[in-house]
This record gives sequence, structure tokens and C-alpha cells, in this order.
Amino acid sequence: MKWQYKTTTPEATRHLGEKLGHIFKPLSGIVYLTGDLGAGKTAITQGIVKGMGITAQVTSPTFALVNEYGDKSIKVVHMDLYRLLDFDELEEIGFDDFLRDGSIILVEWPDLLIENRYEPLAALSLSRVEGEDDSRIINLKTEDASLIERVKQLG
Amino acid sequence: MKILAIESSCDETSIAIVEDGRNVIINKIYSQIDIHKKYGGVVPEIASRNHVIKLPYVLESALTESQLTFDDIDAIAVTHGPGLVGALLVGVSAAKALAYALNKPLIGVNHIEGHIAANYIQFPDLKPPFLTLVVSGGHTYLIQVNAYESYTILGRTLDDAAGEAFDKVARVLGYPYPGGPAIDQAAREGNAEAVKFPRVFLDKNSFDFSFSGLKSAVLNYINHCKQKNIEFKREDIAASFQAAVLDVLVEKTCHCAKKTGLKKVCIAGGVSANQGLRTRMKKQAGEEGITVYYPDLVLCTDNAAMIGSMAYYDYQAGKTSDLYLNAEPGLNIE
Repeated sequence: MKWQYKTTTPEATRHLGEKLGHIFKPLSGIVYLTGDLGAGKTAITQGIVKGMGITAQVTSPTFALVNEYGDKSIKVVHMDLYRLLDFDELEEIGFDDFLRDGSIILVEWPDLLIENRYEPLAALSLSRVEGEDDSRIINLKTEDASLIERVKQLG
Repeated sequence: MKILAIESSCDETSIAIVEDGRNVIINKIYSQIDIHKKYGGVVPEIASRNHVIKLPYVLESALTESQLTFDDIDAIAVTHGPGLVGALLVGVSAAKALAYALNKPLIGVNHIEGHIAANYIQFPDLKPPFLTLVVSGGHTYLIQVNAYESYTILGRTLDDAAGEAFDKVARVLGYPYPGGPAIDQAAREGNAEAVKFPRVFLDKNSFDFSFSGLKSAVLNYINHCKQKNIEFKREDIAASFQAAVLDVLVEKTCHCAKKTGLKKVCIAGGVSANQGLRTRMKKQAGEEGITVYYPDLVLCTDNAAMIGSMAYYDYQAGKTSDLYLNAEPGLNIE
């Protein structure tokens, strides 16, 4: 099931993330985040984390590979798998532990997970719009019927 | 007091012996950059595996070349964060084993504080208070160093680190990893006025940084050129991008120095090796009566000497660790 939305500024992307964060709050699972460099993956994550009620400075996960926000009661894990080469490395960064924690796990460059047939809660993709530098088309795909229902109410 | 220090938080496996925080007896660095070059960045599993292989050799050569033995060493220091968890664990485990086997104090050191301490090695008379701009692949901070053990963070990046912006723009322009030196080099050949990229200053009174908008602007520009078949010189883009980063870094640092009244500014971290940054900072800060410090290139990149220096001041302040010391990938300063 699919849903599409268009934002015209990075702030709007962040704001959409916040609304999605509200919806994700009671859920757990992996959320794929795809899009080119500069597509707004960190921006939408900033919104999602805020929308889940966590106050934190969300920055790019590229250097550290994994950033964690929140505490035991509610946690968001933000990963960038761009530099991982094979599946064993996922274990090394504690991927299974995060899965067991029941957190929302936002994964940038999730190719390794896709190849290994993980079933994400949702897949979010951000793409640029030709001729509109700040606009983004955001697609959400999910197999979760109630999730798509709630997302559709966003407009 | 002689401290044997280990650094393995990212690319480099390094061991140093530093006396009294300022005198570097030896600083051995084994870099994995060549290994990681073909992947366009540090590959974590490869990094940790190589740290395991290299560390014993680096340790042995540090002792042999300095003609010292473990008996001469008074304490063991190690970077325990921030960094890559697997890479950090190698150094932390080795340090704990050494401290336990030799029955010497163990000192866990914050990597960022280590970068700041690189300036203590370079400038034996340099003492806090001063302002420091820490810029590297993973970090961008403006920190007021009140005393050796007292820091006030005045600004930080809200998204990408400065060095990360360099790496990502370099990736898009087809320059090799690490992107910083490649862009710095290309910037000298290009025209910095060719493209006017945005300078993101955020709020005028904020000392925080944001580099993701600049990164997007560079990508937009390149996409735009490709779509319309406009030819561009990548040196010009490199130069224009670097100018935008430096404008913000230098402007904010000088403004912050003025506001805090600090007359000394230290640049630390991998990006402090950037020639453009050094020149610009010296010029602009100099005009405002501020003295600028930055370490030699070898002390800008990750190295254990800076960890050994910081460890000395940690030890003086009674900050030692026990054998439960763990790797903390997200370790904060303060």
C-alpha cells in the first residue's frame, strides 16, 4: 500500500516527519529511509524523533553509523548503512539488539536489509523534483493496513 | 610522568608515549586510509579487524623505537569514545589488559578533548582559558575551554559535521576519500567566486552550525548543470563550496571569540589540517587581535599523542578509570 506527499521546503519535510512520528510512536519496527545525498533523510528523521515525543539534537548518522535517541520507554535508532559491506557487520553494530528492544529503527541506505529480506514496518523514500530545488516527493509504502489508514488522514 | 596512550576510534591505529602532557617521546600512527579509500569511507568491520592486527606491532615499535620498557610507563590511557564501537573496543580492551597486567592506572580519554590537547603538545606554553573550534569528519563544535577539565559547549552542528560535508561533496564530485584534503587541494586551483553557495549562519546570535543545506545546494547545482548540459569545472565547485564552509566557520569563531572576550583561538580535529581554514582564520582573527593556534598536520589527524597529553591532565584532576571502562561510541564532552 502506498501514499504520496509533496513538501516544498526542508521545514515542511521536517513537519511531515513530526506527524509521522506521532503515528509511529506506539509502533515498533524498521523504517527504510531512501533518497540521494541531500534529499532530506536527516531532516525527516529530526521530525520523526520530535513527533515521537523525544527531545534530542538529531544529527547525521554517517560518521557514527548509529545514533540512539530517547530512553528505555521510547527509543528511536537512526542508522546509516552506506559503509557496511556485508551482513556480519550489521551484527557488529548491534542491529539484533536494537530489533529486540522494540524501537523504531530508521535506516538510511538499507540495501543490506533489503537483500536479506527484512520486513520493514514502512519504507519512506524522498526524491527531488526537477526545477524545484527545495521540493521533495515523499513516498510511504507499508503492508500495515492500519498504518496506511492513519497516514492517509494526513492529506 | 610517562603515559602510554592508545587511539583506535576510527581509521588510525596509534600508540604514543607522552611525558607530563607536553613532551611526545614517540607517536606511532598506522593509517588504514589506503584500505578504506576504495570503499569511499571507513568500513567498520575492516577497521576493527585491522586494529586487532596492527595494534601489537604498533605497540612493539613504539617501545623499541623509544628504547623504553613497560617499567618506564606510569599509566595507560585510551580513547573510549566517541567513535566506531568496534574500533574503540579494540583499543579499550588492549588498554585494560595492559593496565591490569602491569598494575598501572588506566585513564579513559574523550577523543574530542584529545583533539583539543593536540594544541598543548604543539604550544608548550598554551593554557586555558581559550576558545576552540573542533572540526572533523564526525564533529563540529565551538567550545570554551575554561580549564583543562572544564568545558562549555557554545555551538555545535545541527545536522552534518563540517568534515562530513567535505566527504560527501567530494564523493559527488568524484574525488577520493578522504574528501577534505582533495577539496582543499582542488580549491586552490578553482575559482571560489564561480558559484555563490549559501552561507548558513542560522540565528545571528547562535553559534550552532548547519551544513546539510550547503550540501544540498551543491547537489542542486550539479544536477542543474547536468540537466541543462552546462559544463562545469569541478575545481570551481570545490573552491566555491570550501569558501562557503570557511566563511561560516571563521565568521562564527571570530564572533564567538569577541562575544566571550577570549583572545586565543585553537583549531582542532582533522579539518584543522585544511590550509584554506588555517589561512582564513589567521587573517581574520589576526585583524581582530586574536591569536590563532593549530597543530602540525600529524597532530591534526587522529593520533595517540593527543590522547596521552589529555590523559595527563585527566590524571592530575583525579579522573582515572577502573577495569570496567567501556567503549562509548556516543560519548559527550562535559
